Amino acid sequence: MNDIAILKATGFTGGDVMTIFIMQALVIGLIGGALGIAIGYGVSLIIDSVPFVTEALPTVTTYPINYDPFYYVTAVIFALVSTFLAGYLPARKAQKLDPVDIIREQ
Amino acid sequence: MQPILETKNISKYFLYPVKFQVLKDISIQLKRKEFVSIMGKSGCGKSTLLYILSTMDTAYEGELFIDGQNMSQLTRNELASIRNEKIGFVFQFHYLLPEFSVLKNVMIPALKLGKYNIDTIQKRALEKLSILGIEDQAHKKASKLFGGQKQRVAIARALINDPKIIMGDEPTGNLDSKNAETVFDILRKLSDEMNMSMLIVTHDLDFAKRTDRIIEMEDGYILK
Repeated sequence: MNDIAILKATGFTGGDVMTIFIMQALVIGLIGGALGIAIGYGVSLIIDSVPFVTEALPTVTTYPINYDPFYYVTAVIFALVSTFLAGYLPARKAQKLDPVDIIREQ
Repeated sequence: MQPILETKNISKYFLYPVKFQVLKDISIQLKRKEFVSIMGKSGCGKSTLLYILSTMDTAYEGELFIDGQNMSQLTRNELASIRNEKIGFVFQFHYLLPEFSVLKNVMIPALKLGKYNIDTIQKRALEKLSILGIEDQAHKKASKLFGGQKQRVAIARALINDPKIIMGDEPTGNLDSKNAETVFDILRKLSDEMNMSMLIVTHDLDFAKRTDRIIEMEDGYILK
């Protein structure tokens, strides 16, 4: 919130602040989502090579992993939505306030 | 000549916890190039007045004119561009963006104004930093500087768009006497040489005595 007060005090409009926060949120969401997928996929590969032998499932020799792309898509969407909200909600609140209201809140 | 800043009967109320009139019929003028300090006890309304004068607070009654233009009728976005172009504000606690370099912090208001290209803005930011004697810190992160240096960066940022008025809410309040002295000398020099008006809220009587005029406040009134 401090950053919002600084930007508004130096002449940025509520709309500018909103744009900056949403852009920042989406970049963090994209980087976070991509890292999450890379690490998740890497760990899945390691687990996939772990021996897993059971008489109930004769065809299975290693730990079974489901690589359905649906899970990866869901993960990225979840990352984007949560970071978007984390940027959007405070920015929307700040948009309607005078800079002094943000300064006084602290 | 028309004053750079003028108020007509500005009053303000705080509504919580009970309705309370914090400013009572404030009518003041600030001349071009004038260096004025506002003094008064804590709670007398001096910071509240400064935030109204800087257009950062729009919840008041009465009229505010900056450079002849009536601020009371403008939208929030129009006020933002007035702050960007005509007013440089210095807070008590420097308020820099900590994860950006000193240079970027100074450049930010100019990037918003968009009057110059980025190379020119950078050159101008370095000039402002050198006026403040801290051009050697330009590429450090803002969070790595000392208090006195941070306050000088905040002044450089306030100067970047060549504003008509510099306003300060106790800009030396958080500094030791040596740094406070430096900051005062810089403001004095700017008002003498660069055609800027200064409006500085302060507790420090020694500081106030060396300005052109003291506006004294008590319980929401102007005393003289």
